[in-house]
Amino acid sequence: MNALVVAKREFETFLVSPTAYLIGAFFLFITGIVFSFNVVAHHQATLSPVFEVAGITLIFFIPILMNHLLVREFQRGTLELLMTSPVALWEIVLGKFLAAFLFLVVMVAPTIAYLFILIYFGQPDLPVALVGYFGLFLFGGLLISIVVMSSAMCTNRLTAVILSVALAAFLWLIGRLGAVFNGSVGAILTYLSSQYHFLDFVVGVLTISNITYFVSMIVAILYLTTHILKIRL
Amino acid sequence: MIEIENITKHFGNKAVIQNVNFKVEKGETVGLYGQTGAGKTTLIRVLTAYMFPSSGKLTILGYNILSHSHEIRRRVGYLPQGVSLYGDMTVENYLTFVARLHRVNDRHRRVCQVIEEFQLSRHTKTLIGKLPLDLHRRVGLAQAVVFNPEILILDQPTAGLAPDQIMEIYQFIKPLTNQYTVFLSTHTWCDVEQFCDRVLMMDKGRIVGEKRLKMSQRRVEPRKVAEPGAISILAEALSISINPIFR
Repeated sequence: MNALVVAKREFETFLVSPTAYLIGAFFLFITGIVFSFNVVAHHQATLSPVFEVAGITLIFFIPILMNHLLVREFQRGTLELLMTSPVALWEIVLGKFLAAFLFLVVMVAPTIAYLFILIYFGQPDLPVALVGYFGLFLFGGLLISIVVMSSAMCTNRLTAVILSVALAAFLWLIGRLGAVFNGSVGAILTYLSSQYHFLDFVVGVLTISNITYFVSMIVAILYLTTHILKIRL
Repeated sequence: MIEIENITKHFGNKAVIQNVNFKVEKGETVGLYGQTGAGKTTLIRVLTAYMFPSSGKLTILGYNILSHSHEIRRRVGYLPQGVSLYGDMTVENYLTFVARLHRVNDRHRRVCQVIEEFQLSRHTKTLIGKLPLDLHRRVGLAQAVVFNPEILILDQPTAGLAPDQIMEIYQFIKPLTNQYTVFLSTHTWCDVEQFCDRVLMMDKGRIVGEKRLKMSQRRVEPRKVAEPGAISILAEALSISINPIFR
């Protein structure tokens, strides 16, 4: 499948990007501070605060790190050669998404050390931690799909970052409006909120509804991105 | 191999190419000659299935562009104008990447073969972004043929090159015209004389003339750049029938 060929190429560009390492290090620094504070100050053997802060951090870091995904193809004109190869638009979009997602896994992977520290010194609830990781990756996937879509819509990287952060923040905060409206409107707004679903994972609640929310949002946004690209070409 | 019937391409209300008709037979090298803005690149982009025509019928290798664009892309090698390649990849990695997209069997051997063919052996580990323009163009040609296409489409292969670089790139394009069916666009008559069996003249989005070149006319001459009105002058010099409204 050519999506994997595109993904491999894109992933390699992350590995040689100084920005990627810088952002990765900063992400670990922030989560490390939260982890240390939680263990030292609160004496809690849990990663839930780390996941919560990691989620909020990713709203900003993923757009900064991954805004180039399609913008750069337009800017450098490389999309023309890609589009005249036997690669479908959806394969390009999926390839970009997979590469970014794999890099997210690499970026988050060192935080496993926090879990080992908790296991060594205390008795953390392992299923809660694993559900938290699962939720973090699903939430990260949603953010990546938003960035891929924004980068398909914008002509420069800064606008792609701004649009991505705005959309991600809107989805995060829309649940607050749910409290303002009563009835079905409020329920719909709450359901659309990524924060509402993500925080369930953070505290170890695994439900089909939450998984369905993230997976369907990711698929819908990537599908929309394919159509945006088709219109732009 | 290529059959175009009444192809028109609109951008908004503006027709960039209008009622274009021609055929390219197997083994031919056909040039598309015209000034900047004549619509050559748009026509090339339609031929490579990067863009779809607004109306008309385009068949390449028996495949209709609208229904089988994927099959066409699998069989057509393309060197775009300006050749935008991934500057962050090495020459070898990039050619392997293209070969992988086209599912080339025995990839490594084929990549080594084109590297040798285009004399890129000393630059295999160099980032494409750091290559000078002539080498960059050679990598562009290499990627266009790495999957053994049936048709090769070159969009202004010598544009932007210095005279000595043009003579050098000719040496790499010339053998390709013997191996593949080639369709190339250019605004330089010298390119036409060098490679083409036949030339189509394009102006304001229309094909305004056609000329079959004798073998004796395919020779190396100093580079000539098209001037305004050059198509009419050239057509007269070559005794090409040309529609009076385009003179």
